[in-house]
Amino acid sequence: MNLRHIRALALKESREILRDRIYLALAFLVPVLMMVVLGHGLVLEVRHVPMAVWNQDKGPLSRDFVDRFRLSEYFDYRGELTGDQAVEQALKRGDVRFVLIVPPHFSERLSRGLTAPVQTLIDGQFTYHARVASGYVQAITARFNQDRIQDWLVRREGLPPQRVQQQLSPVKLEVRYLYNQALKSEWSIAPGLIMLIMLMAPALLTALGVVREKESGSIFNFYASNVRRVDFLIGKLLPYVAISAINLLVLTAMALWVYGAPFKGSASVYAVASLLYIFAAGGIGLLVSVLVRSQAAAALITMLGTMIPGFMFSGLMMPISAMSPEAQREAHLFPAMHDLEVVWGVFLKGQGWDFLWPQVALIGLYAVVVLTLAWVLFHKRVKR
Amino acid sequence: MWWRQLAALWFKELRTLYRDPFLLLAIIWFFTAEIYIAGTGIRLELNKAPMGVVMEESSAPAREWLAAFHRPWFDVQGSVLDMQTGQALLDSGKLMQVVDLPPRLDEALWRGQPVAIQVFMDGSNVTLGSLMASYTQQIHARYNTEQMLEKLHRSAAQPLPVPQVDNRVRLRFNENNEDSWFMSVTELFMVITVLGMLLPAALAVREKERGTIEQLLVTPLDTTQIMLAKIFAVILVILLGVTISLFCVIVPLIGAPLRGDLGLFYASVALYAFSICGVGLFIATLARNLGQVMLLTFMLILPMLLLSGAWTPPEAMPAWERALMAFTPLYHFNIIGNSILFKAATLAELKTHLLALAAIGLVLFSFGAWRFRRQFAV
Repeated sequence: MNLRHIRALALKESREILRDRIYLALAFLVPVLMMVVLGHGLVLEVRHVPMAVWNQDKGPLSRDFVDRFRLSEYFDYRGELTGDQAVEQALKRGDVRFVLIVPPHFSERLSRGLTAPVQTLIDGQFTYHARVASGYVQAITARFNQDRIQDWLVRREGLPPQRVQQQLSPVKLEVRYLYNQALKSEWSIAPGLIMLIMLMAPALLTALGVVREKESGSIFNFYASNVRRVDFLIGKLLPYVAISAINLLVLTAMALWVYGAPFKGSASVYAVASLLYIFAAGGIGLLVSVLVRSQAAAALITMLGTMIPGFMFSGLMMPISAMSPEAQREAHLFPAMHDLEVVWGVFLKGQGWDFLWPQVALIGLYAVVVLTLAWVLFHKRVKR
Repeated sequence: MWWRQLAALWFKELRTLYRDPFLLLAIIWFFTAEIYIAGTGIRLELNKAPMGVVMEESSAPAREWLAAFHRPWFDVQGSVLDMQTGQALLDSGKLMQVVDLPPRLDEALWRGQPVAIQVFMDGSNVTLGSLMASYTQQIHARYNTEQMLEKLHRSAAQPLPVPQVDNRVRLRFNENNEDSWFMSVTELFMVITVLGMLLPAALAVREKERGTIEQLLVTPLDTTQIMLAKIFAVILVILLGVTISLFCVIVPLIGAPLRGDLGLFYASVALYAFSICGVGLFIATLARNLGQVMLLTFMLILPMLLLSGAWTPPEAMPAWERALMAFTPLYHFNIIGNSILFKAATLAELKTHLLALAAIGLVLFSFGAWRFRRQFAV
C-alpha cells in the first residue's frame, strides 16, 4: 500500500464528486428522504382492516355480535352487504379484506341454546394480514361465546349476574410488548431502515466507480501507471465511505429525534459495527464494479442485489430462523442480517459488546472478504 | 417508413443489451432463481416461536393453558426461574415470548377470583409481534371458553346444550394461505419495476455520456422514435422475463395458479412496463450521468416498492400516503396483476386501474419526450 497514491486517488475522486453538484446533493439528500418517507409510510402492523357484514338475521344478538367487530381497533367497518354477488365483488375489488356472514335464525338459535354457525370470508391475497386478522376474528368470537355462557346461566338457572360472573369469569390476558411498547412500526422500522439504507446507499455510490472509467476508457491511465490495484480501490472507496459516515450520523439522529426511538445499548458497538458495515456495503458496490463491463449492468445488479437481501433476507420482515435453508443461505451471504441484530440490539434491547461482538466481528470479516475479492478479481490487463 | 426506422433502432437497442453478458445473466437470475428463493424461502408465519414460562407451581389449568401453545406456531422450551431470567433470555433473542403464569391459578379459577396471565413478547419485529399477539389472544380466548364450558358441565346435573357461535373462517383467492404465491408474485413485480425504471434510463444516459446521442440526433430520426425504441426494447425484455418467470418458476415450481385471462395479464404487464419506462426516461432527462440516474432511481423506487401496496395493503397506509401512491404506476399494477392472477378479474372490473396506468404512462412519456427534445433541439 502506498499512502501517497491512495491520498492522491481519493482526492481525485472527491474532486470529481464535488464538481458534480447534483450528484453530491443527491448523495446526501436521498438517504434522508428515504428515512422520512419510509419511516412514516412503512406500516407493518395490522390495524383497521376494512370489513363488511352481511347480516341476514337482524336479531338483537346478531347486532351485538357484529358490534364487537365494528368496535374492534383491528377492524374498520365499511358497511352492510346483501347477497353472495355483492360479497364476492367487494372481496374481489379489495374494498374490504373480509366479510362476516351471519345467517338467518342466528339470534333464535342462540336463545334456544343451540350452536349458531357464521362464516367469515377473508381475502387471502396478503397472507400475513389474513393470518393476523383471522386470529382476531376467532378471539372476538370466543369472547362473545363466553358472554353467551354467562348469559345462559343467568337466564336458565335464574342466578344473579354477579354470582355467575364471579363463578365463571374468564382469565384475563395482559400482553406486553418488550422493546416496543405500543407495537408501533416506527420504533423498530426507523433503526431497521438505517440498516437497509446504509446497505444500499454506499453500494450504489461505489458501484460505478471502476466501471465508469472502464466505459469512458480513462481506466487505461491507471493500467499504464505504477499505482497498485489495492491503492486504486481504496482511493475509490474512501470518499464514499466518508459520505456514508456523515449520512449515518444524520440517519441516527433522525431515528432518535424524529421517530423517538430509544437508544439503550452501547454507542461504541454501534459506531464500530456501522463503520464496518459501510465498508462492507461499499465493498459490494466495488466488487460489482470490478466485475461487470457496463454501467447499466453495475447499476442494475447493485440495486436489485442489495435491495432484495436488505429488505427481505435481513430479518426486517421476518426473522431469519423462520426461513428455508436456501433463503437462510442467501441471508448469510449479506451483512444485513448481522447489522440488523446490532441495530435493534443497541437501539431497542440495550445490548453491548458482550452480546454483539460476534455480529460485529462477522460484519468486519464480511468487509474484508468482499474487498479482498474485489482486489483479487481486479486486473490491470485487458481481457480478450 | 417511420415504423421501419423505429424497428431498426429497436434492433440496435436489443443488440446492445444482448451483447452485455453480465447484464443478461443478472436479468435471468433475478427473474428465476431470486424469485424461487424468495417465493419458497420466506414464510410470513410463526414457525416454532421459542417460548418460555415462569410457573411457580404447576397446576392442571396452567398445564392445560400451556398445552394449547403447540407447534408449528409455538415451541414451549420449558420453564424459567423468574421473570428476570426470562427478560435476559428475551434480550438475547433466545426466547420470543415469556409467559408469567400466576401461582394458584387453579384455586383462583375455582373460587372465581379474577386472575391475569401476563405475556411478554419481543416487539422488535412488528410482523412477528403481530402474529404472536393475534395467535396468543386467539388461543387464550378459546381456552377461556373451554374452561367455562367445562365448569358449567361439572356444576350442572345433566349435560346442557350451551349456545355457541361457530365461526368458520374461509380464505378466498389463496385458500391455503400459501406465502409462496404472494411472495413470488410480489417479487416478480419488484423485478419488473427495477428493470423498467433503470434500464431505459441507463440506455438513454449512456448515449448522453458518450455523445452518441448527437449522432442519433443528426439522423432523420425524431426524438419520439429514439425514446420509443428504447422503451420497446425494455418492454420486450420484461415480457420475456415474465414468461420465463411464470412458466419456469412460478407455475411449475411454486404452484401458484393462473386464474385469470393470460392475454389480459400480458397486456397489463406491457402497459405497466410502458408507464414505468416513462418514469425511467423522465429520470434520464434530469440526469447527466449514470451516477445521478442511480441515485434518482433509488430515491423513487424504494418508496414505490415498499409503499405502493405490494407488501402492505393500501388500507394499512396513512391517508396522505394512499393519495400520493395513487399517482405511481405500481400502485395500480399491484391491484391489476394480483387481481388477474389470483382473483380472475376481468377487463371490465379493472377498467379504472388500467386507464389510470395508461394515463400515467402517457403523461410521463410525453413529458419525457418534451424535455428530451428541449435539451437537444438545436
